[in-house]
This record gives sequence, C-alpha cells and structure tokens, in this order.
Amino acid sequence: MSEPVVRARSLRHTFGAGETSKVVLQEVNLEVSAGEIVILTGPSGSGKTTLLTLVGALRSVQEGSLAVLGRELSGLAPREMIAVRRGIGFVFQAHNLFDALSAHENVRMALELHDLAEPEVHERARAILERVGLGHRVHYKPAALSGGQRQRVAIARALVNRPRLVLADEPTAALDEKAGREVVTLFQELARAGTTVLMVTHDSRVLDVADRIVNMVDGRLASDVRARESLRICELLKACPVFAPLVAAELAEIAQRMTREVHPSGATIVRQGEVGDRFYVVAEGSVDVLVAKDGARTLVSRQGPGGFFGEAALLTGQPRNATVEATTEVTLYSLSKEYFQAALESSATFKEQLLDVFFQRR
Amino acid sequence: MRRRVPLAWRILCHDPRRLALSVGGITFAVLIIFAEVGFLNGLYDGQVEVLDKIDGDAFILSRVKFSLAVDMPFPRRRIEQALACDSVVSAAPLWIAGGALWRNPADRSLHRMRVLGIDPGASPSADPEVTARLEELTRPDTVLVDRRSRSYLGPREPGVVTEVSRRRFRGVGTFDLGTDLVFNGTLVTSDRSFLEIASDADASPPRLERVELGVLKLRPGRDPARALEEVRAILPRDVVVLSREELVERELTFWKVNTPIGAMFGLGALMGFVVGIFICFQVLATEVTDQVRQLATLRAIGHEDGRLLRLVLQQAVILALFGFAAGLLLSELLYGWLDGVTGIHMRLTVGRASVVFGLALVMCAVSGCLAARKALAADPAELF
Repeated sequence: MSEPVVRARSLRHTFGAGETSKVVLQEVNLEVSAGEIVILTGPSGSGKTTLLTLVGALRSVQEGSLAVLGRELSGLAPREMIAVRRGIGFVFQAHNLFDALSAHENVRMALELHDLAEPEVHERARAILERVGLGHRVHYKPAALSGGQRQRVAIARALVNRPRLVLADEPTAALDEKAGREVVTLFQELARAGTTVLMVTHDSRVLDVADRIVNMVDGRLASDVRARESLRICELLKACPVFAPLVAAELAEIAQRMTREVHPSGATIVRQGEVGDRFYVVAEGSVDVLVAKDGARTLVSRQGPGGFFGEAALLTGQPRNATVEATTEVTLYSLSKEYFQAALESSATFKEQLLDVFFQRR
Repeated sequence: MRRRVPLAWRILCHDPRRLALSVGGITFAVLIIFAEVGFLNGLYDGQVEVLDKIDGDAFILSRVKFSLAVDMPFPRRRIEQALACDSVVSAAPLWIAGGALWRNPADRSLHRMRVLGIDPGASPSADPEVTARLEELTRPDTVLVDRRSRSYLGPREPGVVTEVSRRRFRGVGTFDLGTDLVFNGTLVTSDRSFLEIASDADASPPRLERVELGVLKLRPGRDPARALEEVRAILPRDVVVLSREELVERELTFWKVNTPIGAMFGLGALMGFVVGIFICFQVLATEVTDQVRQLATLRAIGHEDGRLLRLVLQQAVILALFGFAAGLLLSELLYGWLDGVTGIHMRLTVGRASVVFGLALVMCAVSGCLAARKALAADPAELF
C-alpha cells in the first residue's frame, strides 16, 4: 500500500503557556490514504480545527510527528511550511475572494505561485472554472455571483494547482442544499482521481460522501468509523430488538461512536470482577458468557451476531458479573461508557428495554 | 514572461469614490509640501532675483559688502582698472541705494524702495523692458517702476507722477522684478537721477564715483575661472571679484545662515510630510483591514510575505503617483495665486518638483511599510 497522505503520530498541541495553557490535542494518531474522503466531526473546542491547521502547515507542530504528503512537518522552518502549503488546496468556510478581482483573476492568484507560462495560466484558470460549472461566469466579480457560485470559485482556486490533498472547513455551511451537494460531488470526483479530502463539517446533509468519519472529543479521536461500516452497524443495531426504540439518527450516532474490535477464538473479552467500561455488540462470530460461582463456571448464554453484552456493569456501576470469551474469531463493535450513558439518556424506552433484558438475565 | 494579476491596482480601482478620497487626502499633503517648498525657494530666489535682471558674467563688489541688500560701495575706478584686463569685454557700473522714499500717488503714504542706477549709455540691464526705455531714462527725473512691487505702493503705470525722496519723478515704464525680504519694490533710473534720489536719502551723499556693483562681461571662449583670476590679480584688495554663480551662492548662504526661513518652511514641509504619512497610512490600513481574510488566504495558499509587502507598497506608490500628479497641477494654480498676493516669485523647476515627488514617494512608502505590518499580521491559521 502506498504511503499515507497524512500520518499523525502521538500528536499533541497546547495553546498558551504556564498556568493558563490548554491542551487542545492529545495523543492524536491518524492515517489518511490517497483518495479518501475523511470527515472530521466533533463539538467545538474538540481540536478538529487545530488538527486541520496543523495538517495544513498553518501552525507549527509542537509535539509528536505529523507527515503530510510524505513530508515531516515537525521542525520545519516557516519557508518550508509555505512550500508544503503550496501542495495543498484550502477551502475555507468563507470564500475569501477579492471583491476587486474577477473569478478568473481570483483563481489566477493561486496559479501565480507556480512558474507557468501565460497561455497555460489563462487556460488552467478557465478550465477549472468550467469544471466547477462556472464557465459562463469567468469574468464576473464576486458581487455578481451567488453564494454557491462564490464558494465554487474559492474551490476552483483551491483545486487549480491540482493538489493531492484538499483541506476544507465547513465548505457547505453557507450554501443551500443543492449548492452544498454540488460541492461534495466535486470532492467525490476528485477523490476518485486520487485526491485526498479532509473536511471538517457539521453538515449532516453531506456526511454520506465520507469514506471515514472521524469524531473528535476533547482533543482525542473518539471514534474513527468507516462510514460504510457505520451503515452496517446501523443495520446490525436495527435488527436487535433492544435498539428498536431508537430512531435512525440516534442509531447512526451510536454507530459512529462505536469502535471495531476483532478477537481471536478463545480470547477473554471481559473478565468477571473487573471494572466494566464498555458495551459490546457482536457483529460476526460468537461469544460465551460465563459466570464463575463457588469455583465452578457456568455457561449463561451464547451470543451470536446481533447479540450484546456488557450492559450490566454499566447500568449498575458494579464490577463485571460474568466473563465473556470468544468461541470463534469474533468481530465486535464496542461503545464507551459515556456514550452508552448518553444513549440511555436520549431515550427512556431504550433504557426500559435494556433494564428489562438486564433483569431477565439475572 | 509571467503576467501577474495587478491586484494592487484592482483593489484601488474597485471603489472609485474611495480612491478619489484617498488621492484627495494625499494631494492635500503634497500641496502643503509644494506650498512650503515654494515659499522656501521663493524667498531665497527673491534675494538674488535682481541678478537675473543684470547682464554680466562676473561682478566686482566691495570686500566688506556682505549682502546685496546693504549699501557698501567701492571706488568706480576699479571698473576701469578691470577693463585693462584682456579677458574683460565690458565693465559697467551699477549704483544701488536701499533707502529711496516713494510716495504713493493715490494716498500720499511713504514707502521705502530700492533704486538701481544705470548708465543709459552702458546699461548692464538684461531686462528687455528696461533696455527699451533707456532713451526715456536719459531725460531728467524719470524712473521705471517694478510692476510687481507691493500693491500699497499705489499706481505705477507709465505717466504716473509722484515724489521719490522728496523730488518729483515721472514713471516712464515698468518692468517685472518682485519683492523680497528687504525691499517692497524697485525703481530703475539713470545715473544722474540716481544721484538726486540717493544723495537726498543718505546722510553722506554718495557720489557717482562710488558704485555698488561692477558688472563684467568676459570674452567668450576663455576659461572663466582663469579670466577671473586675471581680474583679481590686477585689482587692489579693497574689492572682490566673483562669478555670477559665486555671488549667487554667497548671497544665498548669507540668507540661509542669517534668517530662519529654512527652519520655518522646512518645518512646514515636514508637517505636510507627516500629515501625508498619517493620511496614506489611514487609507492603506483601511484597505488592509477590509481584506484581512483575503490576505490571510493568500498566505495560507502559499504566497510569501514579500508578495503581501509588495501588494501594499504598490498601492502606496500608485497613491503617491496620483497624489503627486494632482498636487503638481494644483500647485501651479496655488503658485500663481500666491505670486499675485505676496509678490514672492514661486518658481516650479524640474529639480524642485522632483524633490517634492521624492518626498511624496517616501511619505507613501513609509506609511506603506507601516500598513504592511498589519497585512503580515493576518494569520492564516485563524481562517479555519
């Protein structure tokens, strides 16, 4: 497999110094391959914007390692960072076009960075504008363009140098649904041609284009879900009676927050008496739930695909009441305690259902 | 050839109303500088303006005469002695008295004037208006009056009859000279009439044997410096012989050292310069602030600091060019008007305009650098 376009290792970042310093990124590990569309989500202040500025060489790496387009950014001089930035396409939430320049000239401002002959500069600017559907608006100034058209000019400016990596911050936030769809469709076309897109967005209308959705919380990657996988998890959860009270959006949220785990046959997944901090759903294979009592181990149940375990410790706050072992190689999706609690809070019926199961199992 | 987007020009032209206001502000500052530089040079020029009316390559003057504005005569015989020198083609005497009393023919008020006496037969005048009236000047009690003398001297047209140093004189013509720091105006008269005026004005009556300036014309084709050396060699030590350039230089130095003109108007020009920096900075800083996100975007996509600096400086230079051009045109009007009001001859030479242009350029460049600092503070990391 080719080298990842972005590779972060133990990336840490702190704002400020001394007493008032604030850690915005801690131990971030992330790899993005060529042609992937990765959406970064997470609440504000979760560090996703900081991560984007670090990847874009707009900020110096403080701790850890970050390689972008095969170049280690840690310890780069400002001049070298500028060189890295020239290989990246930037799309900001605001279009940031010069009002005084036509669409064509705004795009040319990016072409000036490279030593190109005049006919080629002219042609490339025109071609990229055509590509984003503005062939008929080449010499219009931003004031004469609609919001969507302006954003497309900004995207044309980001793409005109054919970057291998595009960083986009809420590129669809200021656009209506149709214009937003056009923008992400363009990204998909780029990705098919091998360009990597790393996009911060809260726009639920465009999440479906993502190959991966990375969720950040408090400066950490809380989950990193392959979106197609996420859909599969949703299907899995939907088939599970206990999740029936949850609506699709709630299921999707849980799915996004789940982490995939694969355990070999015979592995112990939870151990009786330990502190319980995760909830598990079985995707493939099966597990045995065993309770040890007075020196003897009793098989309580066997859980196959769609089965779940681990809820008891999270509901009661007591240690694990059973040991779970893999009987085959097993694929699990697990949810951390806090997201499990959050899911409980979101639906009273869901909580009741789970409690029912919990009491039945006792 | 790479052609760049003329971003600075586009930004300035985008809002013509704002551009007009900006250029107007800078024009104002340039005009202040023009006015101050005009006064400064006009006052200095005025002190040596009289020499422009005299046709001579070199001048004999008393060793103790430290300024053209003071009467310090020397023996007329020195002029004839100078003629003995082979390099001297002609030598004409010029009598000057600073204390002639002119009575305003309209309101009878009295004013001091300078009077120049010439020998109509050997006139050193370079002024065609004076030369044309030499015939009339040979008649007794006639004067030519400086048209550009101060207005309070009253009527001065040919035919006017008034009292000069308590004698009736008739104006038979006019010429253009102008006022300076010392004199309100000038009269030109014949040597005979000069005697009448000056002997009355002065306690010790000067005879025609004592003159203020000897006007020499040197033989063409000779090295002037060597010719002057020859003249100096044969004349006694009570006089000095100076070339036209040396005399102008000496006179200007006297006024520069002995008056605060340089400080006064130099400071005025400096104020205009500083005002210009403020105005230009304000204009550029507003542009930068309005487009700070665009500038940060330029940095984000990989433009170097130099590009942003150039962008702001280009705007500064364009404003300087426009401001200077407008200021130059307006200064022509301003100079004409001030000339009429003050009688100070405000000359706009290429050299002086270049100095003002240089100041305007530096003014805008300084404010451009200040504004560029704001542009370079645009942090691309803030864009996400």
